[in-house]
Amino acid sequence: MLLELIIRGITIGLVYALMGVGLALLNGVMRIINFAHGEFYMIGGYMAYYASTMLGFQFYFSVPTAMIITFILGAVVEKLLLSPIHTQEMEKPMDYALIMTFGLLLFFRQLAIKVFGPFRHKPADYITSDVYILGVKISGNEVLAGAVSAILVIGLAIFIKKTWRGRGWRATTQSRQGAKINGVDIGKESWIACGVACALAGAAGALVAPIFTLSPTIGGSPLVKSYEVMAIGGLGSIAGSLVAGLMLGITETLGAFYISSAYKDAIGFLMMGFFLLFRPQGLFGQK
Amino acid sequence: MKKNEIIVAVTIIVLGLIAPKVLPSVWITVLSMAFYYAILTIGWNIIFGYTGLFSYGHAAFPAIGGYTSALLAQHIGLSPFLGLLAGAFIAGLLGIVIGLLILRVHGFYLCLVTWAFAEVVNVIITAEHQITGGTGGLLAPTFFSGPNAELFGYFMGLGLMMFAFLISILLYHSRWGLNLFAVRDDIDAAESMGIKTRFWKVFGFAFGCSLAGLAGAYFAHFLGLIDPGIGGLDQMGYVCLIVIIGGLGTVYGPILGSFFVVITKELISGYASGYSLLIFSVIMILAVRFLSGGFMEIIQVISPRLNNRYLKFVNK
Repeated sequence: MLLELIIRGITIGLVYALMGVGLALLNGVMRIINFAHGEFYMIGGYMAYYASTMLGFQFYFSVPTAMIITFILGAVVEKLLLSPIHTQEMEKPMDYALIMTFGLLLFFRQLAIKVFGPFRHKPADYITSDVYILGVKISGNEVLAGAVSAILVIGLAIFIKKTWRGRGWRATTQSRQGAKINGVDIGKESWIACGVACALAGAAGALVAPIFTLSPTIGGSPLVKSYEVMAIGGLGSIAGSLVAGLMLGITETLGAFYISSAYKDAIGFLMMGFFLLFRPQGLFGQK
Repeated sequence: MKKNEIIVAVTIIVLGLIAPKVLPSVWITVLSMAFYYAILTIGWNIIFGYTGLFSYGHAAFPAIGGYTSALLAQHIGLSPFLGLLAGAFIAGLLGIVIGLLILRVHGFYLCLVTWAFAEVVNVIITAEHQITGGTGGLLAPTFFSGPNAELFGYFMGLGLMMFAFLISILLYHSRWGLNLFAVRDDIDAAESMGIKTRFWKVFGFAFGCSLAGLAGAYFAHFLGLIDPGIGGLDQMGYVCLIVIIGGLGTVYGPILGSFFVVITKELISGYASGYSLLIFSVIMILAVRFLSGGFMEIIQVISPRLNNRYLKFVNK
């Protein structure tokens, strides 16, 4: 039983990490917080649902479709609404972003109720058969969600470590001014990073769509989780996000089973509160 | 108080007194809701517009104020007028507690802590249904009884809104207000000028919260019913967009925004009832993007006499 809980915790923790990494990336490159991050998760889930039911795509097509659509959406949102952060010299970019993305949260949620309808949807299972790990039966969907999340997070880490664009992002994270002097096009990198962050959220939503059903208001919980991952792992740290996501997933699953499932969400808040009070920079963050 | 503000205040009072004579009776309820939102958003404007703390849990405080007042009336038979004071007092007290807690955090962590608080309040209100009545709501006595009860409740709301408006104007022009602005604009500079920034942060936060508690108590006793929906995320959305549309950090903004939003919502409710929040969120996004000062910015541009008098906040 314990082993099963831990394996489940790891799979869900990897999805949390995927959400948190997107926020961490956005926070690093653009120095803002996206309140609408959970809404991209919701949109990704719906896109995967429509791709699989209306177009008959298998998961290896429907999940990338959801990612591409959320990438475009994120990039458009950045271009149209968030770009003043770096084109104008703003005194309080964080406040601007908070208000703007809160407006986006309301907008996307209301739009989803109108467009997708208030009813719950569930796409067909991506993998119908169960998988045995160390003798524990886990549904194929969960294994797929965990595995793809891990691949995406590690892929992003390698991308940031190895490529020129990733180097530009790291430079921007360290010093905007310095990156600008060395020829990093902040405007371009910002919309690409925003698109990638939203695509990661969309991927998370698409991956867990068959496990948790879809409704227009599902964006709230993953948004909170990704904040918790970021607060625990440290602002702008990918390794921290990964570790924090796993920690959160495992603790939550164990807590839900051994304490009470009613307090499942409170555990994350408590962990976050603990870290905010005693280690405000997070696990891997710099002071 | 400046001349303009006296003129505006007198105009609002006169219009408010004439309105029930002129408008059909359904508008009395609508305008009373506008008064409720105005008091609530004046509170948020003091927290975010004056002090610069982005509180995401503001909708929890009217719930606290309203439930406090309704429960006191139910159990010890407190009159609704004293209930207003009790609601404001308890909300302010909790505002002080939360304000002390959020001294350690800033930026988006502040959002997160206040949001978590609002969620906890909502969960408690829904879960403790033996006390609060759960999702079904709690009955509260109305201010007046008899055939003209609603009309008197309306005048009560008008009076409370003018009270909140007056307080926000006095705060805006006083030394206390300047301390709050200093905390908002540059906390390090404020600290080095000898302003007790920790005290003023808590003060601004608790002040706004107690106004929200007052608004909640008024809401409960005006409608005679309070339910957990008053503290939901939608309500927080309305608070935020009313202040942004009206004009953040200005004295008239919240009132202008509340009347615009509530009246527009009523006007479009006939043929697009489900779309009101969608439409307002679009207006809010456009306002933040292109017109960070909201309606007040338009007014400032139209009348150059008012220019430079009001501080713009978010943009430049």
